Amino acid sequence: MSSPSSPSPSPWQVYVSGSLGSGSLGLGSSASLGLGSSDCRLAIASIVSIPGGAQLVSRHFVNAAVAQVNDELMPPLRAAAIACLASISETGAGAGAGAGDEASMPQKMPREDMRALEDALARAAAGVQEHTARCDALGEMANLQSEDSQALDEESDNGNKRRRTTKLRRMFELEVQTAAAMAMPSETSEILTAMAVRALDDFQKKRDDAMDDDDDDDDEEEEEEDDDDDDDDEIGDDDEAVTMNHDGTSNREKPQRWLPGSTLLAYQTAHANGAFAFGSARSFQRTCFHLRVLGLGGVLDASLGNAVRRCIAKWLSKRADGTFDEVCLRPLWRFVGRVVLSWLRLANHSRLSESSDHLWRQRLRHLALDMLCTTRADALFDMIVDYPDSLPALRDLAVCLQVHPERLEGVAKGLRASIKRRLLHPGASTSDLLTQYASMAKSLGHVDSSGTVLAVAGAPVAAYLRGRPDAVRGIVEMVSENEETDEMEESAENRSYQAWVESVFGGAAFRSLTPQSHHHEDPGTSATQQPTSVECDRSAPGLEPWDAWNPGPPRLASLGSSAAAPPTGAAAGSLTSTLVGIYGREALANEYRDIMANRLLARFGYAIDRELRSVELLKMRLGESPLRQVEVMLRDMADSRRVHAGIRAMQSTPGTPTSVRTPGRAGGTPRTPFGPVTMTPRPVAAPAAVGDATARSACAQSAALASSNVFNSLSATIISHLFWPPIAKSDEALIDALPVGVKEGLEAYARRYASLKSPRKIRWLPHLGCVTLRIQGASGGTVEVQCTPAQASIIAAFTPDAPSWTLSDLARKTACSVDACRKRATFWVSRGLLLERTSQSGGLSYEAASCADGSSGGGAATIGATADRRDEDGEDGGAVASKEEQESDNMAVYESYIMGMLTNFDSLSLERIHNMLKMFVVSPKYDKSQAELSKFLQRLVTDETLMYDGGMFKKK
Amino acid sequence: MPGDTEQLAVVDGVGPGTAAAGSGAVEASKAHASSQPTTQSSAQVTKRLQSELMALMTSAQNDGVSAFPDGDNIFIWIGTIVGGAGTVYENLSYKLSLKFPVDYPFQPPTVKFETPCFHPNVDQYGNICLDILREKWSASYTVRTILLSIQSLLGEPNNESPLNGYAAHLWSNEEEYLKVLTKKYQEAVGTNK
Repeated sequence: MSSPSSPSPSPWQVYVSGSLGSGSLGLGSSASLGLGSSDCRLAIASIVSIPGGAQLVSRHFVNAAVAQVNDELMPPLRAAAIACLASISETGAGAGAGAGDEASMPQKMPREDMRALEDALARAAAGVQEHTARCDALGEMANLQSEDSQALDEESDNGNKRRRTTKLRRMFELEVQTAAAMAMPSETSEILTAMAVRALDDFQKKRDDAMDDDDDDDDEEEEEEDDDDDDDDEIGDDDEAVTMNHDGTSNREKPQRWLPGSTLLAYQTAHANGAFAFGSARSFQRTCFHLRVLGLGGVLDASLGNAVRRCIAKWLSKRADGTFDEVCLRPLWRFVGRVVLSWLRLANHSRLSESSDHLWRQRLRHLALDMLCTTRADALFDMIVDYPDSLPALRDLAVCLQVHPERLEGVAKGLRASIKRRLLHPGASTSDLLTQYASMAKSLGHVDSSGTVLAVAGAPVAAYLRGRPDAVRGIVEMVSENEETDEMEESAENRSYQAWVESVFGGAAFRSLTPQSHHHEDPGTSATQQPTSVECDRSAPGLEPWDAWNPGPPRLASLGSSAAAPPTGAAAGSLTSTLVGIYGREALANEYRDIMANRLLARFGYAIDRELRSVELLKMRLGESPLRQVEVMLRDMADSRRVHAGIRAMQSTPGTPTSVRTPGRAGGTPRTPFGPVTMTPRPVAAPAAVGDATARSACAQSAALASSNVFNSLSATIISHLFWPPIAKSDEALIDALPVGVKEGLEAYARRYASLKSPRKIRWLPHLGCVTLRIQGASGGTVEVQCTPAQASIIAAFTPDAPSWTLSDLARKTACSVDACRKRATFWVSRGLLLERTSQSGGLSYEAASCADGSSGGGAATIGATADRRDEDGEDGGAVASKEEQESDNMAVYESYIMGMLTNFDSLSLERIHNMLKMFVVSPKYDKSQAELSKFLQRLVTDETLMYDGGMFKKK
Repeated sequence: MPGDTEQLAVVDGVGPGTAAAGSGAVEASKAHASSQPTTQSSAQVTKRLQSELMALMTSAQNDGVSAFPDGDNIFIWIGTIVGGAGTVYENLSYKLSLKFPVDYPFQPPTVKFETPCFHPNVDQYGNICLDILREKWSASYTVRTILLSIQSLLGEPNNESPLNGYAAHLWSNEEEYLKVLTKKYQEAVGTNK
């Protein structure tokens, strides 16, 4: 065949460069490292698919490619070389080459570059020439080339187009035959995708721009389509032998199968010229068409799918990521319909058959929901944090999960992972944990009514919370104080949303979207795609019972048994029951009892309406029996009120022996430097166990004993101590430290109680309850302070006769330990009523604030008195014995066993002790955990009863 | 099945709560019970031993005797005896092993000194010559009473039937006895540790 070299720049090169010459940088660099066959495929892929951007490909690439061609003479490499040449020529032509100006381009090309290219091509061709079958092809190419260059010289207008097209077609026939000998590389798909994404972006932009002016846009599209039709016709004219089908097959036999494809490609090349841009809807459309014709429909579809995916992802990241206050489904749906779907129609040349259009529609819906699901699920943790502001986002997720129930597991696992990472660490406070857990329960109730996600994701939180000692208290406080929920409103809102979802998808479409497998457990319910469980009941009250049957959540076997059994039925929706589930009813009820006890014992008055309500509400959650004790406690309060009323009434009866002397006469009104201290005690009384009744007077309401009627100001809470939580150790001696008036008042009260409730008697618990003191400063200012009786006993010690006390004397006088005494005195110091002095010897002493300070002290006291009394009163932290004390008492039973063990065995490990206790201790049955035992043993070590050495415990 | 009923009744009769049941009845039923140790009686024995353990653990800790099951087998115990005040054994602590037969308490446990004990009634292998552990055994004895008996035996040996003639010989010479005893004890404890 004739020599391929040609002196003048060949127009086909230019055209090729225009359309095919958009290599990618990545390709270029990888190719320059050495061209393997896969690189060649890549190069071919770039030829076929990438528009524009060829400037990035360097000459280096060409040289490398050509050199490779010479060395290896692989047929694919020829294609690669051509691609390189093409790109280089475009580089030479410069990006500034005018769009549509075919003729001008080659002329702008620097001569030397063109020559280099020619040389390269010559070398490549020469190499290939030797390669048997391809020789002819190349020769023909060379011929074409020279012919074409002549043609270019003659004319550059469109009239020449057809001729060139013919030549190019032949050339590309050969070209593409080569390429087709290889499987279309998978890389193509990636490149195609990039292309499609760009096209879609442009389309979207155009759409957005055209929002106001839809008509114009439509016209334009039509025009474009007309053009395309023309082009197609042209092709048909060109080559009658090839009958194009739109599905990309041709009538030709196999060897020639690629002919039409190559023809089209070449045609397109020529037509679109150097400025070809896939971004323009028309050219993209055409490219798609060509690709289909080339038999690359599958790759194209995949690429289109990817492009759509990316486009949606971009939209989502813009609209949905990080913003939870807006329902994304509707806008997303509009976007998919208006932009993506119509773009796809365009890409498919507006010739989507009815069925494939439907198919695309289905695919898009699934895809959009799937991606929205991913976006929302990834942010689920933040959504929970933001709850209830994130409600719209949660609804998005809910709909997604209804359509894609198979995602449940992934969502659950993802949430669990982020919870473990972000929540379950020592830095998170228990209250935060609880809040988050509660929001999680609430928000997941919106998302997944089956409770599966909550069960999976909540299990670690629940397990973790169990390890937090203050969690029970937090839960109880939460449960008892936040009973009001707006669940009902929310559900109504939800229902309307469900209706909307149905309408958006169209009932049937939505149903068809929802896989039947979701309800495979019960075919009977597949007709109703209503959310299950609670919402099912709410939103479809008319359902027949069988229809409302609610299959359990999908088994998530892979999650292992660590996932607690999912809450079922109505329980799934209830926050309280979720919280309760962490600990179990008993533990919660006990904690609630403790809290209630503290609350009841530390207040004046008998009003228990709020508590009653709270208890009734809790009963619905916890059941009757665990709260029985609390009920008794509340009944004690009511009884106390009745008894108190009875006792007060007794006094007015003349015959009643009232031995209460007025404090003034008894000298009971403590006289302080400030003047008289008026006490209004409210003691708590526990009637001493006489017969079967026990009541403890725990609540000394400090009656204004100065008043004539002691019982007006003294009220008692009488408790049945068996039903109350263990009360902190009583400080019986304290009763002697009370001011005489109060003490006598208490005695009188007890006497009356005894006569009223014989044979029961009251045993006072003077350390409980509260006292209201009215302290009158010498200057006349009066301060009212509410405090514990113990604190009251301190201030009462300061009389005009004894205005100052040393700490130890004060402690002796008030019958308490020095430490406790100091704490109590500090209470008064902080209120400005006492002064703390350090003597030279280092001992502390207290002194009543001077009379002159009365007013200022009073001011301070008023402020201080409003502070939470329990905060100040660190000495017992509450009426109820602390958890640690109770636990210690529980463990003490086993102490003798432990000591017995360690007597007979020199030393034992914690585990051994634990096992032996488990094995041999039967009554009371040893049921503690090793951790509890460890705590107890540590305390024994602290108490120096035991020694701990190298993991072994020893008897001291 | 009259046989079973009878046996049950008997076993119940000597249950932990009624350890002091008439020894006559116990004697009468002993043969029967020991000849047919069933799983049921084994459970009973376990129960009895557990309650004995509980009694031992809740009783005063400072009387110098203690015992606890060894490992996971409640039929083998380890006991500790501290010599009674005022005796030559004062402040000396001895470990013992107690092995209970499956028909306990109808048969006495096998009690041996694990810490070598220099004593007229204890041989070099730790065997103890004590009548209540043999022919005078009664089901009313408990681990605690056994240990207390051995504790008192330490201070008041029966020199009539010595297992350790040297010790019996030395017993009259308290000073010499104490010297040998201390030496032997230190050897024993030294080897034990």
